[in-house]
Amino acid sequence: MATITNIEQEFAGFIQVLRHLGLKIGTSETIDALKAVSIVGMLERKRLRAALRATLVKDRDSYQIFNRAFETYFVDPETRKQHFLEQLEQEQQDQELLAQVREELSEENLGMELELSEEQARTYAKLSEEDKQKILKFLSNRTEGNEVVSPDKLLETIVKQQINYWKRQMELQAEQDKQPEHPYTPMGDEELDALLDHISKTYQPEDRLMEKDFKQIQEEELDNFAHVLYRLTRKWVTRISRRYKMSKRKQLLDVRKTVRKNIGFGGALFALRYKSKRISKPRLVLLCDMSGSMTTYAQFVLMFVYGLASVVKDIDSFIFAEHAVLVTHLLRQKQGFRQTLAAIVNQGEQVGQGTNLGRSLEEVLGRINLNSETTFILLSDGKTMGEQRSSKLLQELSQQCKRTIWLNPVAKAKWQEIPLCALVDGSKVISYECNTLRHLDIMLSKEAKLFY
Amino acid sequence: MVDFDVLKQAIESQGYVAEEELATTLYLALQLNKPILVEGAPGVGKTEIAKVLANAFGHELVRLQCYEGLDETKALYEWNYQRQLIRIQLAKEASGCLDEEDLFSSKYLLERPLLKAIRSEQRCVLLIDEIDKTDEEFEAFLFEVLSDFQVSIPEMGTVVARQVPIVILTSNGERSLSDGLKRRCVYLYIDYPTIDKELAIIRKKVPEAQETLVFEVVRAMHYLRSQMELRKKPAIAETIDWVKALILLGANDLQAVDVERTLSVILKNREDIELFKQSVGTQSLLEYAKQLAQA
Repeated sequence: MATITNIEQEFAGFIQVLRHLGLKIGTSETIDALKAVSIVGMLERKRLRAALRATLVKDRDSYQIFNRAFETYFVDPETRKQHFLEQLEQEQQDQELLAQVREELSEENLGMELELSEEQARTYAKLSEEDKQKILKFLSNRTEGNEVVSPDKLLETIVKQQINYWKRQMELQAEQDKQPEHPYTPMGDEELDALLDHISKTYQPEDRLMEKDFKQIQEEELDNFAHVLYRLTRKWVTRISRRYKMSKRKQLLDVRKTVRKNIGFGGALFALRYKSKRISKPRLVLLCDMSGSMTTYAQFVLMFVYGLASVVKDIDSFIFAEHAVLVTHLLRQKQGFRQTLAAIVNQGEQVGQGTNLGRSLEEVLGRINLNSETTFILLSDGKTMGEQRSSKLLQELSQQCKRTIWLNPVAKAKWQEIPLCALVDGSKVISYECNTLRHLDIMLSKEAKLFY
Repeated sequence: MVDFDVLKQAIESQGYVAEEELATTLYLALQLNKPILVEGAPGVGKTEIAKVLANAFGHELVRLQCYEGLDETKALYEWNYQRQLIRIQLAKEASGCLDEEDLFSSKYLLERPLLKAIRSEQRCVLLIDEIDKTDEEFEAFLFEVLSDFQVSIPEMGTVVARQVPIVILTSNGERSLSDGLKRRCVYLYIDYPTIDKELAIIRKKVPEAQETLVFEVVRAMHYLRSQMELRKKPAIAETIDWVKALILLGANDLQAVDVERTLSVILKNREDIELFKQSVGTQSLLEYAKQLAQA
C-alpha cells in the first residue's frame, strides 16, 4: 500500500507542478489522467508521457512546457535532489554576497551610515572593482574637517542614484542577452519550487519568435515576425467575424412572420419566413505611442497597426507623441508593408517626440465618435506628462466605449514605477503586458469574445 | 476492449503511419470512451484517422462537416416542416382529426449526422470535421453529446446512444476552442511529419514512385516548411499530390522544369509562390534536396 501511496503522491505532485506552470488542469482531467496511467502503466516512459499528455494538455502551446516538466519531474530522486541543492547553494551564495556588501559599506568602514535596499546591494556587488573603488573613494572624500555640516544624507542619495543608474544599465544588457523563461507561481515547497525554477530556466520554446521581446527583434527577423503577427491577428478577426456575419445557410423558421404572411392564403402555410441574426459589426479605434520612450518598440507598434488594419475593415488608427495623427488613410492605400511603414514615419514629426497622452486623447475624441460598439486600444508605455489628465480622459473614454484596452510593453513588474498605471488601476480600462507575440496572443484570445 | 498492438496493426494495415504516441492516444480514447480532439495544420492527416478507424474496425463512418453557420437543425435533427404542413392541409380538407403527437413523430423527423450516430444500432465512428469553423454556441450544444452520448429533443425526450460511437473531432486551429469542449476530449496534436515519417507515408501511399524522387521531394518539402514563413505551409497531403503529379509528368527525380510546372500543387496562394521565387527559387531548392539526398 505504501508503494501505491507514493505513486499517487508523485502523480499529484506532478499535477501541481503543471498547474503552477500555468496549465489549466481540473479534477476531471486529473481523473482521466489517473485512469490513463492505470491503463498504460508507469514502466514505459514514452507511453506514460503520451498518456499524461493526452489527458492533461489541451493545446499545442502547452506541449513544450509539459515535455520539459515531464523530463524534469520524472527523474531519479538523486537528480531531483540535485536541482534543489543547486537552488539552495545559489541562495546561500546570494546571502553571503549581501553580507559582504554590508560589511564593506558598514558604518565602521565608511564612517557614515549608508542604507541600501537588497536590490541596490546586489547591484553594487555586481559592479566592477574599479566602479566600487570610485564609490568608496567618493564617500571617503566627503567634507573632511567640517564638523558642522553633515552631508551624509546627500551623499547617500547620490550614491543610491549612481547604483540605480548602473542597475538600469545592467538590466538593459541582461534583457539583450536574456533567454525567454516560462513564468510560474511558486508552490511554497522548497524542493518543488527549485524544480519549477529549473523547468522555467531550461525551457526551450520551439517558436522563439513568440517569446522574444519586441525590442530584441533583429532586422533579419522582421519578415518572419510580420508573418506571425499577421497570422495571430487574422485568427482573432476570423473569430469575431463568425459572430457578426450572418451565414446565409443558417436559417431558423420565424413562426410569427410565417403565419402573418400566409393569412391571405386562408391559413395554408405556403410561404415560409426565416429569422435573421442581428448583425453588429465591431469597430476599433487604435491609438499607438510613437514617442521617444517607445522608440525601441517602434517597429512592433507600426507592424501591429499595419497587421490590424489589414484584417479589420472598420478601424481608425492614430499614432501619437505630443499630438495625435490619423494614419488610417495611409493603411488603406495597400502599398505593401515597408512602404506603408515608411509613409507613416514620414507623416509626422511625432515619431520620437515627448509624450502627451492627455492632449492626444482629447484630439482623438474631437475627431471621432465613440459609442457602445467601439473598442478602444491604446498601445503605450504610459510614460506621459500630465498623468492626472490622461487618467481622467482614459476613464471617461472607457465609460463611452464597449471596451478599453491598454497594451503596455513595459514588464508588469515595473508598472508600479509608472504613475498612470496606478491611476487607472481598478477602472474600466483593462491593462495587458504586451512585449512578446505570446502576450499578444493571450490578449487576443481573452478579448476576442468580448468584442461581440 | 481492444488490445494496443492489435489497434496499431489495424491502423497500419489501412496504410496510416502512426507513431507510438499517436497510437497510444487513440488507444486511450477508446479505452476511456472519450472523444478525441485532433488538432493540426490542414493536410497532416487528421480526418484520415477517422476513416482509418472506421475501416479498421468495420464501422460505418458518419461525418458531420462543420461550416460557418452550422446549427442544430443541420447537425442534429430538423422537423420536416413541408411534410407537416401538407399533413395539416390534408387533415383540414378531409375534416379529419389530427393529434399533435402525429405531427411530431419519427415520420416527420429529418435525422442529421449526430442523431444518426446516436441512434445507430451498430457502433459507428462519428467524425465532426473542422469544429473550429463553427461558433461557440454550437460547441456548447455539443457538450451533451460528447459527455453523455445523448441528445435532448424537446418534442420526443432524451435519446441515449444505443452504442457509444467513437467520436473524433478535428480542428485546424483557426480559432481557440472553448475549455468546456477540450475538457471533454482526449487531445492529440499532429504536427508536420518528420523526414522519416514522411518517407514512410509516401512509400505506402505512392508505392510506384522511385526512391530517389521520394527522397528528394521529402527533403524539398522539409526545406520549404522550415526555412520559409509561408502563409500556408505544405503538409503531407501536398507531398502526396506532388509526388503523384511528378510521376504523371514522367519524373524519376526532381528537375527544375518539373518543379516550376508543379509549384501550384505545393504552394496554394499567390503570395507564397512569389515569396518562394524571390527568397528561395527553384535552383536553391533543388540543390538542397539533391545534396542531402546524395549524403
